[in-house]
Amino acid sequence: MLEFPVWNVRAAGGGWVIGVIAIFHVFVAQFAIGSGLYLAITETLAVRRNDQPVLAFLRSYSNFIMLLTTVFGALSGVGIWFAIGNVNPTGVSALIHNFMFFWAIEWVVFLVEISIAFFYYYSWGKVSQRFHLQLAWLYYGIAFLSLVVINGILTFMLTPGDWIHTRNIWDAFFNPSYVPSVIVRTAITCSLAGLFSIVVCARIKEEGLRVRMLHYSAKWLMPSFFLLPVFLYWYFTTLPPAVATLVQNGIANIGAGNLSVLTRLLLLIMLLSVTIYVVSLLGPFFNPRSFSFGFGLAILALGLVVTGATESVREMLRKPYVIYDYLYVNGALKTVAADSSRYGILRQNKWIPERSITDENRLVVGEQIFRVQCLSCHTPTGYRSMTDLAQGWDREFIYNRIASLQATNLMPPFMGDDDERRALAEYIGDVVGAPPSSLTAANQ
Amino acid sequence: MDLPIPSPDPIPVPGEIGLILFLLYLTFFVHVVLMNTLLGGLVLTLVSEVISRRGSSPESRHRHEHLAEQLAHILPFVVSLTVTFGIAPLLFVQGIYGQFFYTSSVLMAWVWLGVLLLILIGYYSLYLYTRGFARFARRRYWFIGLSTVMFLTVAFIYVNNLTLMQTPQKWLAIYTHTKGSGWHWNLDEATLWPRYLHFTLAAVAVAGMVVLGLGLREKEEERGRFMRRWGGNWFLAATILQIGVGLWFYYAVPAHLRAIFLEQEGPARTLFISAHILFTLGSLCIGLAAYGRAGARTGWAGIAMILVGIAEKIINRDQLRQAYLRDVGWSFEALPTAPQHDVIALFFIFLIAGLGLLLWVIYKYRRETSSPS
Repeated sequence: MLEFPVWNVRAAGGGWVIGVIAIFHVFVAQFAIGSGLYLAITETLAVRRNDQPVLAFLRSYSNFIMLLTTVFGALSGVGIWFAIGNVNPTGVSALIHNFMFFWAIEWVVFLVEISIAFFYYYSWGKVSQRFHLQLAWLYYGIAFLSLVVINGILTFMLTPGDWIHTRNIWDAFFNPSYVPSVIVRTAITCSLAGLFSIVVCARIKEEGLRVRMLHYSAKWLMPSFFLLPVFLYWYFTTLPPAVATLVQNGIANIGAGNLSVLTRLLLLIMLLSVTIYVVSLLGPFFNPRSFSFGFGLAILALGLVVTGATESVREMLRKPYVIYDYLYVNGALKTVAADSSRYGILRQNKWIPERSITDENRLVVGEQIFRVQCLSCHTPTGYRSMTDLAQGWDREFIYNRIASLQATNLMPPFMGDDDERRALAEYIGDVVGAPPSSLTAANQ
Repeated sequence: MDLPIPSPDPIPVPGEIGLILFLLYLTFFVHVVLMNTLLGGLVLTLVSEVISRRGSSPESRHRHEHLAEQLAHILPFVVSLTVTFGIAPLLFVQGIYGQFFYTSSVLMAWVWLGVLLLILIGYYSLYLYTRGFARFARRRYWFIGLSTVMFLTVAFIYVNNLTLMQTPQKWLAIYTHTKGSGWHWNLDEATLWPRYLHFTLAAVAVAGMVVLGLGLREKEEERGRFMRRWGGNWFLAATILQIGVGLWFYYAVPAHLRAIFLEQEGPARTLFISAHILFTLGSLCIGLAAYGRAGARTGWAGIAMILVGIAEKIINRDQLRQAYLRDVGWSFEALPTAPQHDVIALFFIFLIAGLGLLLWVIYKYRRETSSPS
């Protein structure tokens, strides 16, 4: 990060701060949308059949939905924004500048969405059924619209498409993975509506109603079980070639027993998703009578893990970029980083007080360069740490390795000059406890 | 050494600066009025809650219990709307002052992020207070108390960040000292406390004004009189204290920067002076209405004057920020702009359609709930 100071999140790394907030937010936000459809369809059916017990259940369920989505959903969404701003200000700045008025549109949509959520909940029993149903469908329509808008910005980060050359905002918004991503996410929202509903329905006291609602809610998971693989395949075909290769290699290597983190996550997602569907089928769908609340919570937790893994995969596929082909994860523009080594980090970065490297300050500067170059993904001794990844390397090897970061296709190029590379190597060598002799020898 | 101010984002600002400032002021005005209602409303609810059990006469206890309940019913919506109306100005601020805003946020990253956790706790705690009104009657003031403390702290964090953002002179020393740990409070800022007190007192005043407004609309005569008097008193007391705090704040701002308000001719001075005239006249009207010396119309006129005054002060606040930033060599001219007029038009279509839809829902809701069917 050449322009902004770097937030040093010690052991966990900034990525985790974003990750933890984002996973919970995505989970709840997607449920918020799916629950809109669940409420609208279920209420419509119940009204048509004059099914009072179901209507009474929906009333209390919508209280839960309102409290979860208008408070936690909304605040965690703002939380991601704050967290990314702290971890990658250049990235947020780029998204805000490019999409300012799409964000503003999203804000309008959100304002209407939560207002209608309040009206929907607080008007139970106070207004005509017809108007209440209108509110239900309006809520879903608006909530879905919020997905349609935010999706343009989210997908832009991985597939900016023609925007890279044209800088046209519509190219950015309607980017290559826009449509399949809307469809994938819509399918997921329905599954999550089913998943949450199973848990909530398991708490219904009256057995007849509980059994009926569990069976009904489990149905909500079924369509996406069959459709999601198709949609996901479509989604993957729209990804940049390098990313597609990454996924293909990961899958091809499963046979060879060589499992990258990405592959492991993909396998985890598949296995857990199948588990969730099978359990929902065998439990609430076929045997709703014996299905317990605890069981419901357990599969909901699996759902959270799947959401987390999916978001991690999305992040991982984007490496080494935060906006593909434009901005690196460490906040360096691709164009700037390309010939940055000619100028060096010290001369470009405004936050390192040292202007040159001496024998005395080499370690201090090395640490500063680590912050600028590496800290967005790595920590010295915590998550994805140097002590873990560079253990046993000597300083000369580290020094050489830094020059070929980009060749990994997962890391941005080193932005410093030769002296700075030495300083960074010395700092990392120090962190991992490499013997000092080799670098000193190379220096002389 | 040069100040470490980040360069403007290479992606141009996608709208005219004037338009973005207009939207910033507009949305921030709504946010401030809501935020004041919330923050001051929490304080007033807490006070009424305490009086409702410790008050001297049963009559006063009863009145305050009723007022606390009435406020408690509104406040959760106010939180939601405050948060939502906070998003838009934060978006526009980041669009035109991002270089400064992101930097100060990173320097106090953990503290800044803490805002969300505090709001989350404050919000759910408020729900526990309102929903459990009868259920945990004896313990409920803990919830409203916790909520009040949370939101007062959130306000304090905001003042920390927004003052730090306009003083880049301090940044490098902070970064070097904290090593980027993100644990920093801008406590050595001379304007910090007066600014915080200025805004929180204003919140109490506005909440008093809201209670007065509710009193003006109250159909039951006795209760209406109490609310007008009670709300008016809070408004007047906070406003009188504000004279002292305002002066403290004014003189805490470096002389060459505050000169825009009185010494230099220009829009800042016009707004500053007219806002104070409006505050004086508005307070007078509110005082008269509160003590029954004038009718409801005078009360509403007072409220309207105060609101216009607040709007002017909001623009003043930004003008002061610009003065701070000009002082470190910044200007809007350095920001590249490339307006996306089609997206801007789309935004306005959404805004009008969205507000229209909400108005329809409100209209329909009121019609259906007012006529027993």
